[in-house]
Amino acid sequence: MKGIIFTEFIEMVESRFSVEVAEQIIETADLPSGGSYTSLGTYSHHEVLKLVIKLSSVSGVNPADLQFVFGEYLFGRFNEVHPEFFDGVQGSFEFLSKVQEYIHVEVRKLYPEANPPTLTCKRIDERHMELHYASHRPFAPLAFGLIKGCGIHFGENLTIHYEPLPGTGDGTEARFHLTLEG
Amino acid sequence: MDDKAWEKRYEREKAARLQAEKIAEEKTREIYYRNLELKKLAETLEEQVKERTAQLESNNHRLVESRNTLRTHQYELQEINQRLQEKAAELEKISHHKSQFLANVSHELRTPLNSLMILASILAENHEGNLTSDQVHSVQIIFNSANELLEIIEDILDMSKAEAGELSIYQEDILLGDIWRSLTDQFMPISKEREVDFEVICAPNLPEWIHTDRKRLKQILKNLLANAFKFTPKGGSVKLLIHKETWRVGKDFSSEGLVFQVTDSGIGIPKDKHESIFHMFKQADGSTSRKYGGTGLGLSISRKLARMLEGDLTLESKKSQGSTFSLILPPLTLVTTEKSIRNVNSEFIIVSEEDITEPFTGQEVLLVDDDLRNSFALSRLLESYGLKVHLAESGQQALDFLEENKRIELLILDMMMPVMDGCEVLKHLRGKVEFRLMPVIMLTASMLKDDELLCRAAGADDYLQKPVEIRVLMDHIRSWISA
Repeated sequence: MKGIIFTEFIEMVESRFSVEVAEQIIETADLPSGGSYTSLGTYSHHEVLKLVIKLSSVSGVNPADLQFVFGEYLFGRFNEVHPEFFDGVQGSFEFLSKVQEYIHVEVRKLYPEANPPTLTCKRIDERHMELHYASHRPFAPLAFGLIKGCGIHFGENLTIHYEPLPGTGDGTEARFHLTLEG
Repeated sequence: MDDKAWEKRYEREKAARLQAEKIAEEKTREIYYRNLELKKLAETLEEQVKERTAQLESNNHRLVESRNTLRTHQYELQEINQRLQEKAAELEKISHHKSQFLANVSHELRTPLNSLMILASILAENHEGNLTSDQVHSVQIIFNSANELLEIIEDILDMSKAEAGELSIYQEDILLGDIWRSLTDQFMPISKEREVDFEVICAPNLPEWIHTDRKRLKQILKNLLANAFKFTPKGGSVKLLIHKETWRVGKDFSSEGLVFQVTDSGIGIPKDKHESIFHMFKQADGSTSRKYGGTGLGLSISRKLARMLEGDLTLESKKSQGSTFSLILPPLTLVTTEKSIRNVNSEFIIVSEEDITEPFTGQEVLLVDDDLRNSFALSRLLESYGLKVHLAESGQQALDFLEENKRIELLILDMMMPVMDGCEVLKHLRGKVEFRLMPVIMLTASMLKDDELLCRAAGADDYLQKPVEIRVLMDHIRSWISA
C-alpha cells in the first residue's frame, strides 16, 4: 500500500486525536516498518489495519468508523496534494465516474507498483448513481468515507447507502447507492 | 510527551527521511538508467533508421537505374520497331516494283517470242521441202526453247504474284477445243524433238464450252505436259486425256467434274516424294534439276491454281513406271451460258501428230499490227494455210486500205497501237454500213482481263491473246471464214 496512506493516517491521528495517541499506537502496533513512513515508500496494508485496530482500542471508536473518518479526511488531503484531478470537475458524480478511467491511471503513472481497487460507476439518472467497489484489501469503509468526503468537497447534499458485499472477505467488496438530494 | 518519546519520534522521522532519500536516489538512478536505455534505444533506432534509409536510397537508386535501363531498352525497341516498319514498307514497295517490273518484262518478252515461235513453227513445217532434217530439227529446238522460255516467264511472274497475294482467277466461258488445240500446237514440236509420242484424247461426251479461267487452266496443263516430256525418255509416250468423272462433295451429293489427265511413261516419282514435289522449289531429288532442268516452281503454282479454281491436282506414280497427274475441276466448270454455235463432235477425238485440215483458197485477210516482226510472222503463217494476207501498220492505214479493197473477208487487229488503237479503228469501222458485219479478231499481248471486255464492247467478234497458238488462231479464223 502506498506510503501516502500511512503518512496521512498518522497526520489524521495527530490532528484529530493527539501526537501522544499517534505515538502510542505506533509504539504498540508491532509494525515491521517500525512506523517510519514516507509517502514515497510502499508498505503492507496490514500495518494500516493494525494501526486502525490500535486506534480503535485507544479511542473506543470501532475500526470501520475509523476507516470511514479516515476516508473523509483523506479526500480533503487529495484535493490539496493532487489539485489537478479536480480541474473542471463540476460535482461528485462526475468526479467518481473519472476515478477508475482517469485517476487510477494517473496513480499508476506516479506509482507503478500501486494496485488500486476496482471502482465501477453506473449512472442511473441525474440524481442517482450506483458505485461498485472491489479490492484485495478490506477497505470498503475507507471508500465509503472517501465518497462522503467527495460529496462534502463539492458542497453537495449526498446521501450514501452502503451495502457491504461478501467479496473475498469482510470489507473487500461493497455497493454504494448515491442520491443527490435537494 | 516525554523526551524519550520525542527522541523516538525524531529517530523515526529521520529513518523515514533516509528511507525517502534512498527511494528518491533509487528512483533518480532508475530514471538515469532508463534515460540511458532510452538514449541507446533512440540511437539504435536512429542507426536503424539511417541504415534503412540508406538501404531504401540504394534500392531507389537501383530502381531508378533499372527504370532508366528499361526506358532505354524501350526507346531502342521503339526505334528498332520504327526501322523495321520502314524496312517493311520499303520492302513492300520494292516487292511491288519487282512485280511491276516482272509484269513489264513478261509483256515485253512475249511480243518477240510470239514472232519467234510462229516463224520457227512455220519453218519446222518445211512446206517448201528445202530444209534438211537436221535443219528442221534445229528449228524445232528453237521453237521448243522459245516455248520453254515463255513458260519460265509465266512461272516467275506468277510466283511473284502469288508472293504478293495478287494471284487472281477470272472465270469465263471458254471453248474447250481452244485449250487442247493450243496444247497440241505447243507440244507436238517437242514430241518430235524428243521422239516421245504425244496424244490428246477427248472423251465423246465433252461439252464445247466450259466455264473456267482460260489462262490458268492452260498454264496448269502446259506445266504438267512440259514436266511429262521432260521426264520421259526417248521412245516413251505422253497422253492428255480429257473426260468427265464423278465429283464427290460429301456422301449425299455427287455430280460430274471435268478431268484433265496427263500420263507419261517416264521415270516416275517415288511414293515418299508425292507431296514434296508440290512444294515451291522442290523436285523429287535435288539432282533432278541438274539433269532435267526447271525452276521447281511449276507444280507448286499448278496446285495453288488448281485449288483456286476449286479443283485439285493429284498424282499417281511409282518409280520407273510413269506418272499420272490429274487436274480435277468442279461440276460448275461444266455449267456455261454460251450456246453451242459449232458442231460438237460426238466422236472420241484423238489428236496425234498429223493434223489434216483443208487449206484455205486464197481468201483475203487484212492484218493490222504496228510491230513488223509480228506482222511478218503472222502473215507467213496465214499464207502457209492458203490465205492472202494484206498488211497495215497503223489504224489509219487500215481504214484507208479497207475503203479501197472490198474483198477483205476478215480483219485481224492488234489492240495496242500508237495514235489509233484497235478499239478506235473498230469504232470507225462499225460506224460504216458496209463494214458492220465484217468479222474482226482482236489480238493483244496484254495480260489484262479487262481488255477482252473492251474489245468486245468496241465491236470485236473474237479475241485472242499473244502469243497466239497456231491451231487456235486457225480454228478461230475457220469459224469466221470457210475454207
